[in-house]
Amino acid sequence: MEKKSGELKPLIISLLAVGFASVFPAVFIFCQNADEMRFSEVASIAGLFLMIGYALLAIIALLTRNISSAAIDATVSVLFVSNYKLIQKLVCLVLPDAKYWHIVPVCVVLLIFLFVLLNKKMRDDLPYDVTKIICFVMAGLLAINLIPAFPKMHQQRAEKVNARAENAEGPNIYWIILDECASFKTMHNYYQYTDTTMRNRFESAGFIVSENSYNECGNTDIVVTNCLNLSYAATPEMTSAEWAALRINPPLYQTLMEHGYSLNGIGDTAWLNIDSATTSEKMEGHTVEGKGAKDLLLENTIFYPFFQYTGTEAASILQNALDYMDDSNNFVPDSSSFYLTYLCLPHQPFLFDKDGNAVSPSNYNNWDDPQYYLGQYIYAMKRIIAIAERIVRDDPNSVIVIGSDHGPRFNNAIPYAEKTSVLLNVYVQGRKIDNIDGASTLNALRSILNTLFDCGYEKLEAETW
Amino acid sequence: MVSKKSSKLLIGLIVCGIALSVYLAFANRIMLSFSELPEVQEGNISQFSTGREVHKALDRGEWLGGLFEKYYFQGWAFCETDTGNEGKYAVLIFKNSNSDHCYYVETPGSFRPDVYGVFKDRFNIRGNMHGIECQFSTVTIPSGEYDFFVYVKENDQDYGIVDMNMHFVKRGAEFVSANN
Repeated sequence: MEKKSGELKPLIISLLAVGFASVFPAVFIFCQNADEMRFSEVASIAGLFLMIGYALLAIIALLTRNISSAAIDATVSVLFVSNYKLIQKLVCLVLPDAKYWHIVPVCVVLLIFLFVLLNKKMRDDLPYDVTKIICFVMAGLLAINLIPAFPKMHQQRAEKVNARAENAEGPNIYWIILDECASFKTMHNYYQYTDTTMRNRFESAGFIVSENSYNECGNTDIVVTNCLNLSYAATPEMTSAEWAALRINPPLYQTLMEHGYSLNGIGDTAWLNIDSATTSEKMEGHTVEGKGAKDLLLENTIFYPFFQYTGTEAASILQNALDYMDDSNNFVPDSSSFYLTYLCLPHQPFLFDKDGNAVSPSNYNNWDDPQYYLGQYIYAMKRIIAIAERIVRDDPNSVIVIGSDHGPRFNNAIPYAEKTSVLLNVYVQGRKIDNIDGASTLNALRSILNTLFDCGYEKLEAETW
Repeated sequence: MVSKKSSKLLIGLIVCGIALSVYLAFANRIMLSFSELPEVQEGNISQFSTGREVHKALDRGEWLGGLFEKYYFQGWAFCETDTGNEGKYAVLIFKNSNSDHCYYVETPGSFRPDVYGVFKDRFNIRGNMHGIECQFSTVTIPSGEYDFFVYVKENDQDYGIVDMNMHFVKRGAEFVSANN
């Protein structure tokens, strides 16, 4: 019995030492930002490090047949894995042309030599003593970081509850503009693409799916400016400076502000005169470079090249906006908020395939082969449907307009008139309202404002340029 | 007297050391062979002959970094031509600022109907493949300073090279435009 407890103690100390060392980086990042983030944001990374730590412990213990020695080796290995980037930076100070694939194998070989040497030279009882020291030091470090973080965590929760209570007012309005997004009809007729699931998911969520909506022309500036003006104020004869002037404090914004709405931009909305929440410096819980807690943790590890973002800036703007809309923490239901999202998607450049993977740059503007527009369209719709379902679930009293300005313009198989056929899916608090099916985006917005604020807008006769 | 076990260990260590050294010497090439990026080649600027005037613009130059230290170019370039240009391609050339030695990467023309639309009335421009959309690895480009040229080959008769008046600096893992 005594012998058994004597064997168990080194095992427990070893497990604790490796466990504490493994989760420390995630706990440290969380504790430093406890007022801005939840532990769930770093929990998966903490779990990953823990698994790596214990896997290393098991392998080394099998090789050395000494759990305490294995714990020391595993702890050093975990520290190497989680702080690899620092080592690479130091090496590159001396050898600037050294790459990841040079440094990693050399470090691994050196670590193996170090472990063999340590295991041979250390006297029998020393590994257990060292493991105990590691365990206590790591436990101390965790405690030092965790104790001051608890009040911050509580404060964050209280602030969020208060924000919801203070702002609870009118229904939120989400208007998502997908530039160059074809209607379901266009996709069926000219891309031979029919996905009834997409349409069904919109309808099941309570959306009105308009099959025959057309806008006045194929120019984004004109169509969106007219929507903001709630009239056909912008015409093709005007200059782009005149269109821009019409977007300064337009009637749509005025109407919303008169009803106590706040204006919020997502994606590329600077040209629509609304600050975007997804420009990197404004993303809550992110650094000025737009990095979240997970990015900060992974970018220091040996796995950093596999998680590093190496897409173009254009792709990054789109992904940030989509991810932002996907996160319910960024929205407060029924808070009289107007969210205007503009995404240059599925507009060229064709950056994503249907699964969101990068497309070869030589095909960024390839309209000749329809697979590139189609791939980006499918990816955009997959993400947007998921976002629409999330909004309906979290904010069922809201109004959502998902529409495009025009269809795919550079597909020569599509006649000009059909290029102005647009996507228009509207959700109005789960209700069915008239005048959406077959309406232009402009008329749909007028109908929605009538429903919400009783504005008395008449239906405008369709213009075509 | 060295024991048999020790001598075996020593031979093992020497073999491993040699294998590691060989790997390290060719590691860049080995790793790049796993990427889908176009190959950056070494050469001399004189191999790209001057012919016709090149009309060009650089829309975007972006350091993407990552494991393969990627750089991304977006722009367009063309020479006037009377004959077909189905196999049109462009070459992005980084010439060492102190010599004629250069590193270059070939890229096929990409679809840019807007370029044709703007220039069709002013120049003898053919087709729509005037875009340059290229991502390449800068791993094999050594640290130093480089001038940026673009060579365009419409066909065997019509080609040209142009100095983009841009200067790049390769420093460690970074490749940046000194004009920024």
